Amino acid sequence: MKKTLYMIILALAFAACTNHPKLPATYETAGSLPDIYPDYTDVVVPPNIAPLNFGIRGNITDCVAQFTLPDNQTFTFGSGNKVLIDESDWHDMLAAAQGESIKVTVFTNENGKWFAHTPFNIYVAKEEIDPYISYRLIFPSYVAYEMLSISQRNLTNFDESDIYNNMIISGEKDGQCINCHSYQNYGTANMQFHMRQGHGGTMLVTNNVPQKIDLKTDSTISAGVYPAWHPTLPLIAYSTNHTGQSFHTRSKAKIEVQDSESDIILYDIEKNEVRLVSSQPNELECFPTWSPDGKYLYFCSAHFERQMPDSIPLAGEMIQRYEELRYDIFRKSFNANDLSFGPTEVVYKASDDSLSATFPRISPDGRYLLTGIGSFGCFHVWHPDADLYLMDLQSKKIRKLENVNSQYAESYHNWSSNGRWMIFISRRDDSNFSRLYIAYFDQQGKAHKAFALPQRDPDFYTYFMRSYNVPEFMKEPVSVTPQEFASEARKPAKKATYVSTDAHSGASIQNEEVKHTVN
Amino acid sequence: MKKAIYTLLFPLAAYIILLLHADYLHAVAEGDMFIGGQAFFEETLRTPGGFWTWIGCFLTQFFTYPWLGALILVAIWTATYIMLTDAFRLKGWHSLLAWIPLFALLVSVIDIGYWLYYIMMPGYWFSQSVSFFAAVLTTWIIVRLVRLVWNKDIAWIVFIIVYFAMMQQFPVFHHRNYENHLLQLPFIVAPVSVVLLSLIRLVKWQPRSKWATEITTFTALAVFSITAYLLSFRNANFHAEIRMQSALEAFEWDKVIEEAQAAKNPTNLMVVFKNIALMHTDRMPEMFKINNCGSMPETGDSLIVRTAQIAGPLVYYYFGQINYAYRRAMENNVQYRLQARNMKMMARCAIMNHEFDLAAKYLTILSKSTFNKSWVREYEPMLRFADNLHKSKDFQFIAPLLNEDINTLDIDNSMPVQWILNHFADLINTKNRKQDNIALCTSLWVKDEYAFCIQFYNYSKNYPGEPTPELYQQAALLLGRSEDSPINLDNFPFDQLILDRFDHFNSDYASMSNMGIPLKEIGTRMRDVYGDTYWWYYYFGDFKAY
Repeated sequence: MKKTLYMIILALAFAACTNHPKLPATYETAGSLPDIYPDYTDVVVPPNIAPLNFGIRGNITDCVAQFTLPDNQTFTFGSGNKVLIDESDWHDMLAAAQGESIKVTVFTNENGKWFAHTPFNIYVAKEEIDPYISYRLIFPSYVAYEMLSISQRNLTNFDESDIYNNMIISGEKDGQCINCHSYQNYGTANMQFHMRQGHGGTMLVTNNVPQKIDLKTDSTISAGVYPAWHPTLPLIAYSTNHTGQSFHTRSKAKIEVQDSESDIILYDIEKNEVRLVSSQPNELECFPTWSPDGKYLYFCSAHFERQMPDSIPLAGEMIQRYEELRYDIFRKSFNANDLSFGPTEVVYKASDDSLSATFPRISPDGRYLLTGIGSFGCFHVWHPDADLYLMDLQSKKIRKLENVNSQYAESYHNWSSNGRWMIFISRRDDSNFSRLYIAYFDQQGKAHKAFALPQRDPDFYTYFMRSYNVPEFMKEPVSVTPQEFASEARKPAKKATYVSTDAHSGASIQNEEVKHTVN
Repeated sequence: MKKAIYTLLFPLAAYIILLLHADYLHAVAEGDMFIGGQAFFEETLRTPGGFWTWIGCFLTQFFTYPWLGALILVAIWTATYIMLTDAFRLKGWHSLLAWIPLFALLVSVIDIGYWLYYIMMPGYWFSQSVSFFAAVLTTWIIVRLVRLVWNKDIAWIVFIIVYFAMMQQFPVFHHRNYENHLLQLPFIVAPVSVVLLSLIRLVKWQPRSKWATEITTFTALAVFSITAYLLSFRNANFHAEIRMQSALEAFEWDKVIEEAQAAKNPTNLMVVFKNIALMHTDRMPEMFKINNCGSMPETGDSLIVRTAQIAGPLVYYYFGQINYAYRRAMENNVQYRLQARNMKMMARCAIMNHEFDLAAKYLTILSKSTFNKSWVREYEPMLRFADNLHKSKDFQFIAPLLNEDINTLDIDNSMPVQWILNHFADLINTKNRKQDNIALCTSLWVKDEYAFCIQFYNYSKNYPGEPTPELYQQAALLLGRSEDSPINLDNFPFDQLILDRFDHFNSDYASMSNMGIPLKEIGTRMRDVYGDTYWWYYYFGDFKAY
């Protein structure tokens, strides 16, 4: 008896929760697509993504969205000016439409009159996306960094949690900046992120055990900055940087972040040793990344020679000549047996095209190189002209990803573990706040229209005052808790030791430039 | 009836004391932010004590109308008082002691002064009172329920448990390397005094007569009220700065100048505000006629305040530096707390920068607060129609200061005023008369002889045949005729009156100097006669940006 009662209550609760509105009995044809936000019209989505809840702009009192599956089964959702899709129904729809599409017809009630808008499709890819991502949430401020978190999000639903939050320790007098979270080959058992200022150090997790390391040595410019885990070995390549910021008086870019010095180092986790990989004079090496097979280390470098008198500090000269700083992409072969690197090879000489390339990322199949390109500089998230480009490493051709880019900055891009999805940040919504966008990359090498990371409330991005940056795909959530990280952070950092190499005099850049074509 | 009057005596006094700080309370509302909707609620809940913060932010916005915010605050305190007296069974003069925690909370609202700009707790002005009220309410409910079955005085122990269970964030007043623990005292006094209420019944003394009771009551009221008022932050310049900021935000230039004229010893920030008002009324060459020598703000403790935090965005904006204004507003929002004032500034900067999507975001957020809707209605049309933008006061006053084709990369070292003065003093590609005047006046403000000569030369070239303002003639007499001067003024037609006055200034100065009078004393003696001249400012005046 009790069981039956529970079942009835559950059924009633379920019925109350999954409210499917009726389609209007009469309506006129609007003759246009609905003005929905985020824009999910004609996007390709993974079959395991969270519901694409959306809102509708305009003077709308009510709405209904009809989702029609390939087998003509239909679902309806919508109330007010929002279409909030039941999670269970959504995943059923995705499963039924995998490899095909869902047709969405939106009906809106404007001034008591119903309109049927031109339907749009949501294409459901066959290939899944990694179930988790992590990112840093930061106010798009310039110097201040309160309320910073590195958070993780389950892409199949809306669950989000902090991996670490700087306010756990920031309350203790010194502020604390956190950045550069990175994982070994999409797993979270081996990961790292940096803490700066208060309780500074690199929080290194190996086999789910955190330990704080001090990577700064007397022979290196700084502690590790931009990290790149070797895909299989206990090694992390880092850039070391002297970074400064200056501010535009009129340009909408508002801020310029520059390195006055930078090198590439390699950190051997097991031996706790740091060695130089590339430290060429007049070169600003940065943004290391490994090829998926671990045989090459890709990185960027800008050539900068002093022209002004010594009385002007280097940083001052760089501020004045900021538009001349352009980064090219290089690579070095890697010998895992003795941790040695081969000569530097040119991959893409962006400066020849009056462009600057940053954050090279190689697709998991090793075929493509995704990079962020702007007209100058290295901190493209503040450069409205920054776009994502794709280089086919077989044909050596490079092209702008037209479907993916916008009039504002795109940056911090990454590949999913199966290489079918790209995630990146874009400032397309309002020019200043970075949001996460995901794009499908098909087997023919075509990137499809990107869509915003779905949120439970379509208005979320309007009211959310922090920016997303450095999205990283993960196969599972991070298991170390924020409190465990904080506890480790309060301990003194283990100091890394420096091992000498010949990177200063290292082989100069080979002139065997790979021919490329800019389309 | 009498009991009701006694109950309301202290709240009434507290209300009056709060209203004596009405300008400050209005600044509190602008210095805090509440956003309706789920996103802000969830974001706030992520912080320790987030729920109280959220309620605190909601109620703090009512200080937009100081009388209303104060009324709500006093109502919360009154309810707290009534529950305390009931939970602790306080009668007669004993019930006066239930005012102590409320006295402490009143002081905590009005004693922080310049910490207004540095406190990192959103909703501070209400969150402490509301969480205290909630602890007392919970105590009162539990005590009432327990009394139904067990007639024991357990209020104090219940309060201790409830208070510590509910309190999740203790206010901290620290900035850079300085921390003020004295400001935390009210938050210790309030709970401790509640616990001690349970002991007061051990004191058997009672007033002998009705008169004695009334005298005790009024004496206690007087002591509480006067002490609270004396502990409040009443620095005249602090309040004047607040009023000047409000006037600047409303483009009420005359009010700003009046405040500056009324100030005996203004802060340097007040001097900057005054000069902004003069600049936008095309009276900048009068800047040295109204006291241009300011002082550092008196904070009452060792807090070192900076213009960047107090009014950095405003100062930058009114000098047409919209990128830097936006940056400072954003930084202050992040470093300290979300503020309506900063949100409005970011919206204004985005509009002036033609970043309309960004402006729309801030306006939408502001429209979700209770009292900023009319402000949003004023600015929102500027996004849609250029005509509305061009007719706006923002455009009228700020657009002439924008140098669209000049972009430089620079660093302000967190010193907005110093940066502005240097920036304009060195500005060579001025676009209009307003910029010419600023360039000239700032070169004089920072006493940069070379920059002045260059600006003066350009000014004379740009406006040939026009009468030269008195200030520029005074400065040219002093700076342009020196050996190091890069300009030749032999044929410049100085006004005879100015030449004569300069001669008198020099002879008075020389005679006092020959008498061995110290420089500072000479400055004091000459101020009455020459205090309105640039010569006096140059020799004796001081302006230190902070």
